[in-house]
Order: sequence, then C-alpha cells, then structure tokens
Amino acid sequence: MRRALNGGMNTESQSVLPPPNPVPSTEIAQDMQARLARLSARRVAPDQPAATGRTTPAMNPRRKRHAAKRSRAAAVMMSVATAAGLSAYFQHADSAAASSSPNTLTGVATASGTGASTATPASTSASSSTATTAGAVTSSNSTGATATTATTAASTLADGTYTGATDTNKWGPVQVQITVVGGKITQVAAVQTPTSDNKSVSINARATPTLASEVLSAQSASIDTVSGATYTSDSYKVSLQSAIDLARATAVQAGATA
Amino acid sequence: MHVTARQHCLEQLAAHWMSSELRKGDPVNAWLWYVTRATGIVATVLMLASLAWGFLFSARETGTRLRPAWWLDLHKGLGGLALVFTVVHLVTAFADSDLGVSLATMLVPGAADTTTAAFTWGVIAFYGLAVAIFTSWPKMLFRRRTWRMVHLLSVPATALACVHAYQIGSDAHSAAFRILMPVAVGCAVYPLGVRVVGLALSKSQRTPSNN
Repeated sequence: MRRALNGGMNTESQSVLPPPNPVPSTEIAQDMQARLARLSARRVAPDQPAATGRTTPAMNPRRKRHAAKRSRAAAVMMSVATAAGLSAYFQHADSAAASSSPNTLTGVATASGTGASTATPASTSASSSTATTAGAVTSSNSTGATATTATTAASTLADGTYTGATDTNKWGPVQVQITVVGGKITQVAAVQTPTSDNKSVSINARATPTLASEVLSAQSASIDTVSGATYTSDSYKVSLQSAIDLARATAVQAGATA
Repeated sequence: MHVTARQHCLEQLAAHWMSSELRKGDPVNAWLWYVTRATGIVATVLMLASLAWGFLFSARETGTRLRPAWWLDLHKGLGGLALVFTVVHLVTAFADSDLGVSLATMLVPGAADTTTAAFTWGVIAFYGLAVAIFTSWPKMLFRRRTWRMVHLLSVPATALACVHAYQIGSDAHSAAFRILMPVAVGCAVYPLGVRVVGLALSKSQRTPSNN
C-alpha cells in the first residue's frame, strides 16, 4: 500500500516528504508470525514449559490448589488427636494426684513476739473441710504451765506474730502468718503457697490478697472461699485457724500466768 | 424397696459429686485449663515443624526442590495450623475464669501482673507468627526482599514461643517436656543450620567470580 502510494508520487513531492519507513522484509515478518504463533500456543496450552523452562503457575488451570492436601489433612488430624490425648492425660493425671494426696496438716504453729508459745496441732486429716485445728492447742511458757483450750474458749488474741501450721493440698503447701496488735489481726501474709504449677501461682497471686482482706474485716477464719481458688482458700483457712488458735491460747496462758 | 435403694444410690452419687467436683472448682474451667495446656504444646510443636519445613524447602542442599509445591503447601498448612492452635490456646486461657487472664494480658506485651516476661514473650511470638502468615497471602504486594525479611520474623517468634513455654508452661518441668522439646528444637535448628551454611557457601563461591 505504502509502496504503491510512494510510487504514484512525483519527484518534487518525494524531495519534500520525509523518507519512507523501511519496508519489513519477508524474513522479519515471518519471524514475527512465528513469535505470535508461539505466544498463542502458550495461551492455549499454558502447562507447556516456556522457552525458559519455567511454568506459569498463575495461568495453569490444572495446577493443584493444595499440592499436599493429604499431608495437610493428616497434620490436622494428628494435631487434634494429640491435643485431645494430652487433655485427657492431664485430666487423668490430676485425678490420680487428687485421689492419692489428700489434704494434710503438718508442722507446728509458731509464735513470736509477746508470748513464747507453740501450738502442736500437727494433725493429719483426710480432707481440708475436717482439717481444722479441732485438736487441742498446747501452749507452754517459761513457767512450765500448760494451758489447753478449745478454739472458742477465748475471744481475745495475744499480741505477736503467729505462723500457722502448713496445710498441704493437691497443689502444694499453704501456710499463713498473722500479726496481732491490740488484740486484733492487723496483718495477714501467706508464707507458703503452691508454686509447682504456674496456674497455681497465677491463682494464688489473685486469691491471697482477697483472702487477707477478708480476714482483716472478719477478724476470724470464717471467711468466704475465693471463686476459682477453692483449694487454696480451704488450706488458707486451715492454716489461719491454727495461727488464730495459737494467739488465743497465748492470750489464755498469759491471763492464767498473771 | 427397689425405688428406695435407687434413690439412696443417687443421693450418694450426688453427695459424692458435690463433695468432690463442685466444691473443688468448676469442672468446665478444669477442662479449659487442660485444653489450654495441650493446645499450647501442640502449637509450639507445629511452629517448630513449620519452621523446619520452610528451611528444608528453601535449602537447596536438602534436595526438597524436587517437589516444591508439596513442600511449600505443607509448610503453609503447618504454619496456619500453628496459628489456629495458638488462637485456641488464647481463647481457652481467656475463658478459664480460674486463671484470670485478661484480654490486655494476652494482647499487650508487658501488661501481665504476674510472670510478665513470660507472658510478653508469648504475646510477641503470637504477633510474629500472625505477621509471618498473613503476609504470605498477599506475597505479591511486597518486594521479594522485604517479604523475606518479614517472613523470617517467624524464626524469633518460634524461639520466643519456646521460651514462653519453658517459663510459664505447667508441664515445663516434666521429664517428657524436657526430653521432647530439645528434640523438636533440634529438628528445627538442623535445617536452619543447613540453610545458613549453604547460604554462606554460595556467597563465598560467588564472591571471587564477581571480582
């Protein structure tokens, strides 16, 4: 077409007009045709490797969406089964630990400060509910006098610091210390709490301040159990009761001595 | 007579239940606690497995390039599964009212009242894992180098998850944990070592030719 137009022009116009574009040779046109044909072929059959040897994954309709579908399914099943198995094992282990280790009250409640008294409840009980220091609290001082009293016999507490007996539940030992000033409990501290389990640490960190504030307001071991910290609360009350008993016994003994 | 005996038996069962289960806390919370522990362990192992698979996939020395699609797909699957188990771990820990873990404790590093460091490592590990996984889907949006740097956050995230498990895990002191966790860590560290050594060797081989 262009050649025909150029051929039809006169010499004057040829000198004014810019030189015509070079005419593509037949060789080049054939090369272009071949490239176009290759591109068309790739679009039709994209799974065929290109000249670089790489496939085009985005354009491959036959490519699997999940090449490791079965392996992934196996991984899911194994993970779920492992988690379920571990949960069941933990439950079983906890049940076994609970049945094999009933609550025990051990040790000696000790006092420091006003009177040199020693309470020896040291009773071992089958459960925390019966592990109160119902046993006699024996108090002795330098005069050698021994006073035995029930927990409700005296209402006043001798000043001093009293450490309760250790009550061990299935999570670990709990021991409480009280400070009595002016016949009133002014300070309560948990000397020992279970530390073997991180959940216990977390629970006790939350429960012991609540229990302490309850003790300070109630001025006795008749306090509410903290929700979610039942074991700790029960053991806390047991140890607290032994410390209070010791303070009462000390007060009674001091009165008798006087 | 028969009814009375059955009633007596039921009463005894009820008394036993009241004395043993309800008095000692909510059994639902106990189960949530067991699931929290189990999913935490499984999530940590899955993170290690995903890491191992990723390095085995990327390391040419291991010859896993023969089936790249399978390796890559399984690597992605393990990573996603680790994230799912981590989320379950967080949800059950939050749902366990005995534990008293707040949303801030689980999502804000350093917000925990007790064992702050251990909680912080766990939170950072969770974010690292989430970033590594969620940036893999829109991979094309990032430059290759940028994406690789972001994706490699999964390595410190996994390490922090292991530290978190060791510091705060209730089973961290058990013999099984002390034996199996180093084995799992070793399984992840080995391909990492192969990858790093391979990278160093290839760099040293390339350097003279460039000069």
